[in-house]
Amino acid sequence: MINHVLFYITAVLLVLTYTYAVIAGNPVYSALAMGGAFFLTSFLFVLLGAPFLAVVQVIIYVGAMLVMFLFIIMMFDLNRSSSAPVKYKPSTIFSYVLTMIILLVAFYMARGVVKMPEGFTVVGFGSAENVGFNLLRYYLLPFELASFILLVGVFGAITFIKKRDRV
Amino acid sequence: MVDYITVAIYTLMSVLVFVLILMTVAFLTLAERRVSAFMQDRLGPNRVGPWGLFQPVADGLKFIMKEDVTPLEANKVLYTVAPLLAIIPAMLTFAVVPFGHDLFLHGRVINLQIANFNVGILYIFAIASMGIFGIIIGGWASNNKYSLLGGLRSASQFISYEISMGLAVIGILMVYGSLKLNDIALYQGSLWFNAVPKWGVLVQPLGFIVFLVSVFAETNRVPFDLPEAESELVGGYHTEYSSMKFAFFFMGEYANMITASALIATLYFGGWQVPYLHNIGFIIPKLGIVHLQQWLVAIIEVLSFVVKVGFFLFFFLWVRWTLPRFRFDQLTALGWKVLIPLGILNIVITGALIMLRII
Amino acid sequence: MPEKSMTKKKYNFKEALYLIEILRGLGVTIKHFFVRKKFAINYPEETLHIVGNTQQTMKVMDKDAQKLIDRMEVTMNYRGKHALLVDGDLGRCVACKMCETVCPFFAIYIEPEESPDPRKERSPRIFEVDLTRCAYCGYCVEACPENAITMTSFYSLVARQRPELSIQKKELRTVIK
Repeated sequence: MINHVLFYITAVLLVLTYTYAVIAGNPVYSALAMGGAFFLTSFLFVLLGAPFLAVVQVIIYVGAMLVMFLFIIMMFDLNRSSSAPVKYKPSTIFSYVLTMIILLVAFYMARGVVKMPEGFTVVGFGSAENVGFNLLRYYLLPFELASFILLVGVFGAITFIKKRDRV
Repeated sequence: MVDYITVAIYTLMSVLVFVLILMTVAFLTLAERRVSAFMQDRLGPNRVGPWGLFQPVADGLKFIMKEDVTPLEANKVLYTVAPLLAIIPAMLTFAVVPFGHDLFLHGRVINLQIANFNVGILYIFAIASMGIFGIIIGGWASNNKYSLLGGLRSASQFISYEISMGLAVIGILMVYGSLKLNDIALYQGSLWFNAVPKWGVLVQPLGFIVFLVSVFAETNRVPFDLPEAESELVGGYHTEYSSMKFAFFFMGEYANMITASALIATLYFGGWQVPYLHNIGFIIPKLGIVHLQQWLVAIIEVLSFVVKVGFFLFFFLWVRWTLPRFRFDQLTALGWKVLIPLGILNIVITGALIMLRII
Repeated sequence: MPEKSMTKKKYNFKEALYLIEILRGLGVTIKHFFVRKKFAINYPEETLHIVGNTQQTMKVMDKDAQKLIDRMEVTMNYRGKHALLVDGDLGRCVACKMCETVCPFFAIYIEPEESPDPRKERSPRIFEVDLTRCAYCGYCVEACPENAITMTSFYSLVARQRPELSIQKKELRTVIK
């Protein structure tokens, strides 16, 4: 019971924070709202009984990614770049309407298929042992490939910097 | 069925720990000044009360009475939120640090730890990574170029050193095979060759050095105090802050220091573990057993934890008044070119040693 | 602009490792932590002895601050409160107003009168040094043709009200043997 109440509160807050992250005029506010949303997502994991996932979510998204975002955003000249009010062109309005339609369809589809999480679904779901076991036993190739892609990304970043250096 | 007495005990314990941390923070500010004075052949504050012991009270009063200035062009909301973001995570991290093993009291087992969270170490990492936002946002919201530079430095420094810290901790996790801090402390009591306790510092000397250096960077302490760098950035991220808002940043830094010391002690120096001490007393292989009451054992364990944390707190001050500050390029070079490779090397070595069944 | 080239010092392995050097540094600080030399003085409880009240009695100066502090003495050339020297019972001052003239801060005020001493014409009726203005530069001492005004090493100059720091001839008189 209390799980359900907490889930709905978190879900509503999550949607609100993400919405705010999109519509906030100030990029720093957007980034912070996103941080709050990441945090709420991790709270959803806690409700599912997966503290490992919750904590990893916070470490990676809040602790690393968001810090990078803020790092970049802080270097903007906010007075020049962001104070322009959002213009409601026909295309913008169209995209909003489209989003609403997709959301409604998704909602009606989900009502039939997806059930509320009942707390502990599987014993040891999302525990450190389970995640590690699955990653390194059944999904070793995708896991290694993903890390390889990240490595390529690192090389890409270094090449960009080096090129600018030479000019 | 909720056991209300247990809930009450843990609530009381968390309040107690909270108050103790605040007290320690207060006296750390005094200790910092006294220790620095002694190391420089000075006397330090010794006027308020015996040996200046009431100086923190006077400082606290001063902080409360001071005018709270908000710069005109600052972002009011974030400017106010930032100090809170700095201090709350700093206070939260201590929740999973065990300061003793178990206490048997009237047929009840009490963990001497507020929350025996099963991903304890990662919890500390996660919450500590939130603490950085206070500094970054504070630096940005003050609308001051020095503050902004402090915030930027803090962000890049934090990201680089969190990686090496994580790599160092992976070595510990490999050896002890648990994410619970209490388990890690417990396993460090097991004996190596039936004689030497398996303390992290003995099993993971390289990892210890990497972790120690990274922790100094994470807590923004000298020699890595570039975010505040008095001589270059005036005060860094808290240049514009005054009154209690400044005090919150200050307390956050010191609370982080306490958690960092507790973490070093727990991961590498056995935490509450006293060598050869078990629940029934001292058991020394081939020599015999000294029986002790269980409550006495618990007290000895808590004391040992306090002594270890105290030593590392002193070590933080000691290093501060010994080393000069790093230059920024040296800082990033040390982080990325030295500590991260060393951390990876440590993992490889640890893995090899575990395969060879040496540790 | 001339190019300036600097050679970086090559570190040997021990220095490049940092750790040993850091430990050495830690050793230095902890040594000072436990074994301290005395430099600071707990002022109201401990006071420095004022040795010799005028520069007339100047002995060989001790330049070693540590030795002075060990003996709890003020250095001899400290410029503190002023003194008007008196030989026997007659003051040396002839109220020539040289010190008043040279004083950059107008801290000295002199009103002359006819001297009771037959050897000189004038002596000060009022000789006032305003210590709140004085910067203890010692120009008055340099200017004095009669070596009448000097500065003592008396350092504890405190008062509850400003007028108390404007000191008169009576307080300045210092008899020397």
